[in-house]
Amino acid sequence: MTREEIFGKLNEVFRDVFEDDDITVSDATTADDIEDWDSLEHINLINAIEQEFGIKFNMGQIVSMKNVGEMVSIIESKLS
Amino acid sequence: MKIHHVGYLAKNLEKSAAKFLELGYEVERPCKYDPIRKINIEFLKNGDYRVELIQPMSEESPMFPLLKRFKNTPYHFCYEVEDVEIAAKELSEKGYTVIQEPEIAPCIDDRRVVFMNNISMGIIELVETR
Repeated sequence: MTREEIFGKLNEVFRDVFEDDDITVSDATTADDIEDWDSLEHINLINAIEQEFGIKFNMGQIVSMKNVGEMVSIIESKLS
Repeated sequence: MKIHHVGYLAKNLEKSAAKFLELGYEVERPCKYDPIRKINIEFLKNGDYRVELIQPMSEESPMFPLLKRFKNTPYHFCYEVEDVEIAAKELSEKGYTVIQEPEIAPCIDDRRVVFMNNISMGIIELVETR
């Protein structure tokens, strides 16, 4: 799966979790850019991403992701 | 899976406990501090039903954001399992994410517990039967 394809699926996950069809994430997107992205929704987001891509994050990755770009890189590495 | 208890967030454990006692609940285990999660916990029983009242005692408590958002409310079911590592692995394969790694629960006889989340289910806790 290419990075672009990952972003495409990720956008769908973000729109579903945050119930906002206008969300489009980029490498630089952080929790500060999405109003409802707090520690509780982060837990739901991670779970939704794991199920969408059929992967598992470890605890260190869950708490240390700085932005969506890092998230995509981790997904990319797990799918390769 | 057999239910061990329902976890209930309380802004003020003493006040919430009083309201439960009015409804016929009895104190099973009096209030005790859990230093790992920085919460006060009290177990109440009503027949076969057990409620775990949880009051976060610090903003650093992992339960504090839950209280902040949901106020006084039930927020997880806890299920009994023989081995939390094995059960967590099985549920992980069924779409759950571990949100707090297995750790002892001082208020449940130091039995090990693990917290997991699924977006369609919410938070669940697993506790070892021994």
